[in-house]
Amino acid sequence: MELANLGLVLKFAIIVIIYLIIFFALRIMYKDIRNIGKRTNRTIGLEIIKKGDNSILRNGALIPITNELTIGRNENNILVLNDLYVSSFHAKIYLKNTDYIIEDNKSTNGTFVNDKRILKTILKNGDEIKIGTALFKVIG
Amino acid sequence: MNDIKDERKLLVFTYLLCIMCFFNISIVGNIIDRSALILGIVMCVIISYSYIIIKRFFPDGDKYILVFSSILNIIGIVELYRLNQLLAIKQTLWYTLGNAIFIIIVIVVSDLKAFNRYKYLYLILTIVLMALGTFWGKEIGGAKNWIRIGALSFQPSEFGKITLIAYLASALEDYGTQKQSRKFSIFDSVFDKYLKKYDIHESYKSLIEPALVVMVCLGFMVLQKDLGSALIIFAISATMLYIATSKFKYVITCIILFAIGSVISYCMFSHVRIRIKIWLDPWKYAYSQGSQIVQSLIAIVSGGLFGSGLGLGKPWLIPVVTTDFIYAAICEEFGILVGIAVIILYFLLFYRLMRAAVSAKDNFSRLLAVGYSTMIASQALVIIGGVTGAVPLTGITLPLVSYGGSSLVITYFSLGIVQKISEEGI
Repeated sequence: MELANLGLVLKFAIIVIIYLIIFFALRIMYKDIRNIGKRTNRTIGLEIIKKGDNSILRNGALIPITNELTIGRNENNILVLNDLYVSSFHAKIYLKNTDYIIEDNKSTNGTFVNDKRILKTILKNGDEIKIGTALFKVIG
Repeated sequence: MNDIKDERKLLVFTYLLCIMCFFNISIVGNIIDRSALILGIVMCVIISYSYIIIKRFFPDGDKYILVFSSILNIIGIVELYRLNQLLAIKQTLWYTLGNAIFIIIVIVVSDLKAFNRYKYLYLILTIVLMALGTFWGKEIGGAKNWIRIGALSFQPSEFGKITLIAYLASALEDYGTQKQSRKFSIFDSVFDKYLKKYDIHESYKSLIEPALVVMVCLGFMVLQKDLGSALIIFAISATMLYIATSKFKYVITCIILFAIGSVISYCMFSHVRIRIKIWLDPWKYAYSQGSQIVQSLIAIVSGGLFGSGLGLGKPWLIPVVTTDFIYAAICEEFGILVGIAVIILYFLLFYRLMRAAVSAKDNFSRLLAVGYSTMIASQALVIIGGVTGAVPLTGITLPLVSYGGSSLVITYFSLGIVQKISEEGI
């Protein structure tokens, strides 16, 4: 009666799998709850490594980002760069869940993170952002 | 990174569960039942299809709502297959339709906040749907709220619950804010003089209209002998009221009114009396009106901790087993452990839905999410309680698990809207 034994095995296996699912789900929930507390106060900073052609910036200064930072030549941006190689609305850095995302806004000369041209990517500590002739470093 | 690994693990386990359940069913008879295996593979395909679409095109939203609802659906379809193969196949079709509606809502609805303008449309739809059963309904199984169109029969009160939640969300969203005076309320002129005389705080006015609507809906439900829906509407209204106002005294008022209403209906209606009588001592009526609950209790107990095994129990002895008492069949064949696991799964689903409500940016979305999650959670609680004899039995379905086209469609509609709300928040 092998089929009966197989049935018995399957019966227990199904119960085990359902409880494994619940266990993993609870672990995910737990991590999630921890993240909600972490999420509310995340500020990063952009350190100016090279100010390039921008007369407004100073080398070594720090720009804090709390939720959103718009970068471009237009004066409606939060960070205004008057470099000729920077488009009017060049890029945007914003907070999403627990990560900061940098998004290129269809600029002419592109946005570079760690010397790679990107459209939209997650920022990590120490990443180097190049916009026009200016170079910034992410401080977490 | 860890998050993605955990999601993958959960998904892999879901597939594993599906395959194993159907494999178990297929080897129960003397020959291997291939259609069971095919159904299992079809279910896996549908799950992966919806999951991939949501993951690729709408990755901002909550990914676990679909997983938990799929697991509940799998358990339901497996048990239905064991009871009645045709119903299982029909349920799979409804499941596909439900998933399609879920995905369509997530794709099509772009701005949920804009829907709060249609308050009076929701009001009219709610009253019409709730009244439909009273005036044109057929009586099936003791509740007079089924409408038959051709070959399909559905319960209009289920759709009415959705529009009721939409109406309550749009009516309560402005409570306590400056915008209150902007919304036109027909009671403004009538009650102005009355309220000014007694110096009652202005916020009361905006609550009178929704309160009356809810009372009318409850009245229709009681007239249609659908007490389960009445209980759920009460739970939804009380929860939304508390979330909107944050004043506990309103909840106390609701409970008191509900107690008064139930005592009145106990005295007035015989079917309420019968239900309470059977609930208090089902064994006395074991061969007549209490046979449903008695059979269900016997089945749950005979399963034991680990169940009798799929296909080896006798769930067909339970009356109405494919819809209301499916939980008893699951407890018998899968065991009490899985019965508890199903309750935990509903709790997890409720948690994910409420999490979307917590992170919603505006009041309307938050109230909508709270309303829909309460609808699903209270439905599960009331029927599981009724089936195990903890509360008086009512004729509502276990969401996602029971056989029922309109129930599945409504539940997936609500899940789709909450998924959309979860995208907007953090």
